[in-house]
Amino acid sequence: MSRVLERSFNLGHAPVTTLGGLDGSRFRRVVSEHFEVLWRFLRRLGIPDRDLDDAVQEVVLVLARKLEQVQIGSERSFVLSTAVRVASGFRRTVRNRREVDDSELIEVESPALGPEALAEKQRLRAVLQRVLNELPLELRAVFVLYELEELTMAEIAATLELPPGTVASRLRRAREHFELAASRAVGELAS
Amino acid sequence: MNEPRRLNRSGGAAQLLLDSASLDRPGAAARHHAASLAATASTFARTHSNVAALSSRRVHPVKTLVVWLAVGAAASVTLGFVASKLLGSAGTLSAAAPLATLSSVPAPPPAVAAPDIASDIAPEPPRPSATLKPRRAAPADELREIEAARATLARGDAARALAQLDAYDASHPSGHLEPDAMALRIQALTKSGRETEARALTSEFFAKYPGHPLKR
Repeated sequence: MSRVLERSFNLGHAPVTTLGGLDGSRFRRVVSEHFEVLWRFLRRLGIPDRDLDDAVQEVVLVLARKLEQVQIGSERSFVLSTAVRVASGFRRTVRNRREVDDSELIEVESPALGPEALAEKQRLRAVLQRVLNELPLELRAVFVLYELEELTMAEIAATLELPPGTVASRLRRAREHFELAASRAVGELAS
Repeated sequence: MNEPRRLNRSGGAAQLLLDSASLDRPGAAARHHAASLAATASTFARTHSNVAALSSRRVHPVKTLVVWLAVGAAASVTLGFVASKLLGSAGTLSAAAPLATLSSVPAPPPAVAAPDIASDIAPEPPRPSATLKPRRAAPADELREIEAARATLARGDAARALAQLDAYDASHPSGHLEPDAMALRIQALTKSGRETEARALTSEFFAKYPGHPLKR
């Protein structure tokens, strides 16, 4: 594909670009390879399940628009950083609408677990989201990337375009809060 | 950088909570939604590159998709999505099979190293019905007819797909899935080389559905 997001015409004040330059096969490949991590990441960032498909879609649309500017090998970073931005927008919307309802976590079938173990794990998963949601989004993003997606701190700094020191301090604060809140929440569950 | 030991290997409450995140696996419906979206954009980029455009402004994503991007394949997203909800909510185990058909947009053949999400992932059982919220009520017979037309088109038989769409239009003058039928027809016309008609119908589609109610 030769054209890079060719500017075609303007609609009022909004610049409009065609999708004519989209490299369809690369796009499909990138979406296919990164869909799962994207879905998971958005969910862990606190997007309610009823909004997950829309949030995924929004990230994918941004990707379609900007794919040619995304360097080979940087696709995951692009997807993750876009997800944080989209999540930030969604959270504002959701907060305006009503509080995040973490009771709507998807019931996932997991054949490896018995029904009781599964139910217990689902309770914990709901608690996890409540604890994560207590963190401001900028801390939560760093925390989830490190603790759940298992990126290195250097990868997080590159992905979120943050100085390494900022990543380190956000992670430290997030971990302190999380460990306290986790002990408290699990203690409450047990009692 | 000094990497602290990850909490999911720390034992204790933090690990217990973090471990529960392993439940986070997208279900079949979410996968199909994403696959349809990717296929849609690819198809669109090939067949309608100069007709419609994607606004670079951050606008309503669903509207952006349908109005500017989807055209020929809007139905794949809508229908795949709606169908998955409906089939899932009916609690039928047959959901996985028709879904695969519904979402298989006749997109350009993927490159060698480009596996399609829809085909490379084993179908999962539908989610428990309690968590599903059908967005639109499309009767099952309409769904079946549209699904049949889509399958036919996916097999490459555009002429027969058009006949099936004619039959759908005749028996459901104001069907719930009319936009889906219309979008399929655009695809079928394009596939048959009837570009002029496809373009005309595309304009009509835009005029008729400026804000396609994909979103609930």
